[in-house]
Amino acid sequence: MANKFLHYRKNPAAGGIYTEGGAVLKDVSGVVGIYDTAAEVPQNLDNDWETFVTVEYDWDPTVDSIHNLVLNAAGNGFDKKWSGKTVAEQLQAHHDEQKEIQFKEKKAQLKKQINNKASTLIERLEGWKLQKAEQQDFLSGGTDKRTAVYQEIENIRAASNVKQAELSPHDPTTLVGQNALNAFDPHGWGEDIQSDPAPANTEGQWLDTPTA
Amino acid sequence: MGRSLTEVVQQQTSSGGGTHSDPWQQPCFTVYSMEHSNGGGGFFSYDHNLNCLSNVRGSGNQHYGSYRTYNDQASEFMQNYASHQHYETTGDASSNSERPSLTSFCGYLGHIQFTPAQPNGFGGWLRNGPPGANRAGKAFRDVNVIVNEPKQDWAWFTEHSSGNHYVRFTQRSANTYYSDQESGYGGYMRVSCAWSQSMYGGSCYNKKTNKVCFMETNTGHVFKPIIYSNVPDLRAVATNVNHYYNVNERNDAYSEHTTGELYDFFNNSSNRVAYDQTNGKPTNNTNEDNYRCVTVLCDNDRVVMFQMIPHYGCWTTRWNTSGNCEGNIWSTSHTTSYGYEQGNKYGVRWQVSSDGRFVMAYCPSYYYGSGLMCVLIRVSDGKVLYGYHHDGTYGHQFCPLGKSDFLCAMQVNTDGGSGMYYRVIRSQREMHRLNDLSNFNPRDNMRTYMIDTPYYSTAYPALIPAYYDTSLFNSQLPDSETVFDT
Repeated sequence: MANKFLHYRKNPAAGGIYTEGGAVLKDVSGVVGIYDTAAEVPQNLDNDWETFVTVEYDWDPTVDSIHNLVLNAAGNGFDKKWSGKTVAEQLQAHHDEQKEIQFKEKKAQLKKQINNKASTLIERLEGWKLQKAEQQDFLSGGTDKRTAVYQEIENIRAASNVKQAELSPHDPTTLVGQNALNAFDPHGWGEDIQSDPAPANTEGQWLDTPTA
Repeated sequence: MGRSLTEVVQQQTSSGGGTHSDPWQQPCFTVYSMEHSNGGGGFFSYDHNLNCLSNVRGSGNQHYGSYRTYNDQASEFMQNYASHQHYETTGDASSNSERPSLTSFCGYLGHIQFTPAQPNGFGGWLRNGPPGANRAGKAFRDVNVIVNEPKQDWAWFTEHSSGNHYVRFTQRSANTYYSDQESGYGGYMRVSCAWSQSMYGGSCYNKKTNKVCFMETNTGHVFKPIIYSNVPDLRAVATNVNHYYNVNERNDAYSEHTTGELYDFFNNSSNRVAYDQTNGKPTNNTNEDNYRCVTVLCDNDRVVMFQMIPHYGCWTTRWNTSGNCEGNIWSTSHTTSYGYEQGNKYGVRWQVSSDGRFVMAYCPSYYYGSGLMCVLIRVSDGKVLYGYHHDGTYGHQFCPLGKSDFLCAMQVNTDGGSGMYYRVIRSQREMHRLNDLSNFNPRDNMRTYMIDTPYYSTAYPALIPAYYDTSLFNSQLPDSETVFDT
């Protein structure tokens, strides 16, 4: 079998990678094109983030899926990500890996949605309601109106923390945790602001077994 | 047989109140990006010169009095879906099924999640959440190719129903198609299959030759084009949304799906010929590669078919002018991918140039919508160029540009000001410099810093193809073929 020219993307030096708590969550390096000739490899590409390398390689697709190929230290060949696995097993391993990433991202989004909701609720209180309390306290010489509003705000923070605590234990790497994340509603707490939870999306769900 | 349709001459107006005489100043596409918390986002529209036409931008958190995109108080934006990945652009396409930058989300009907930019450049705008996208997905699934049509303000659709094509001729709108298609009784004409079974989309109308190709499947991943000649002007049918023309009006009802001259025409076997069935398909995997494809019926009677094969890649076949199948003329394989069997909003898509002379058929190469596999087809003779990028991270989205060209956007992170990555694909140049069945490599010469995006930090934007008056590119520009004629 004739050698192929494999176009490989290295992880970007900065930007472009989804992170969680400062930890890199997603590895976007990998083979992004297989060509019969070097001339076919994409040329003259503006790219702020990434660098590419083209490796001439005796690639046997019946032995290695492209997901199994990791650029070696010398940059002229490939190490194997999963040694001893068949192509079907490699695809399954890649699929499982992607699924985990998806659920990590989902968890991070749910966390953000809770914070967004808390922020919205607090913002409302900090508007007309707090102004009103300040005015009333000024006239009465007291602090009770402001205290009441401050307490409402603090209650929202506390409720938000409770919701975050409900989310926190769900492990995106386990099936139980993934199901829990799918069912998790980041709304349904705090002041009733008549926000309905988003309808469940039943399409585009993950298949557990990719077909090779 | 009478086909005395009268095409109504329409004024060319824009919703901005003016008349476009310069085709290049019409909207071409809109760039969308969004971060729901602090960043905000919006819609920047560009014309065919790649100059900005309009911008709508909402600010994020803590900006009273501004146009807000933020969470539950984002009355002007996606309230119910604030912070959902469906409208957030802070993550790349990768294996995700919902992000706006997915390759499979753009096609002739625009973008699955958005209605397109209007003639005055405003918008696009949102469809509401995943349900809206899934519903628009039916139209993207069923829409058939139109070539050599100077005025692309209409669409026709084919829905699979065993041995009948359910065919609809309407305006170019996913929203109206969904209403028709879901009405339970509305608007389709039944066309009996000549060979086996119907498909979702997969057909083609050639305005210049007055021919239609219906693609049929034997439900075992084998396909056969059925060609009709002397077809009436389908734009006239579609823009009047009336396939019952020349039917006498009466108080009693007619059989809705089996009445009229057009029905008679398409169900008359003497009006059609069958080409050979396909051979050489690399592999058979799913419904996407059994009931869907993109077909181009060329001026010389060649037929080109491009098909996504989920979990394999794609393949292309072609029939010669005698109707003989050339087998597999180009295919590429990669890894796991999904077609419409995982949701109507996934699968193969197509775009046609403003002059109707070139078709770009494409699909993602990785999961739901990242990477790219495509063919560029010249309608005059069926010459085919291909391109692919097996990218597991970024979506690639197409729209027509100018008279004969396309714009390919690669949805890389725009952080730092690079804006949307793009390349102008000059169809005639590519056809001129390359042999049939060559790689035109749409990733070559991808460019940055020229097309701004609404959210500055980490964002993988979406391209929303616009609707515009394509006929101006045909009526308002000099004909280069005749410049040396005396």
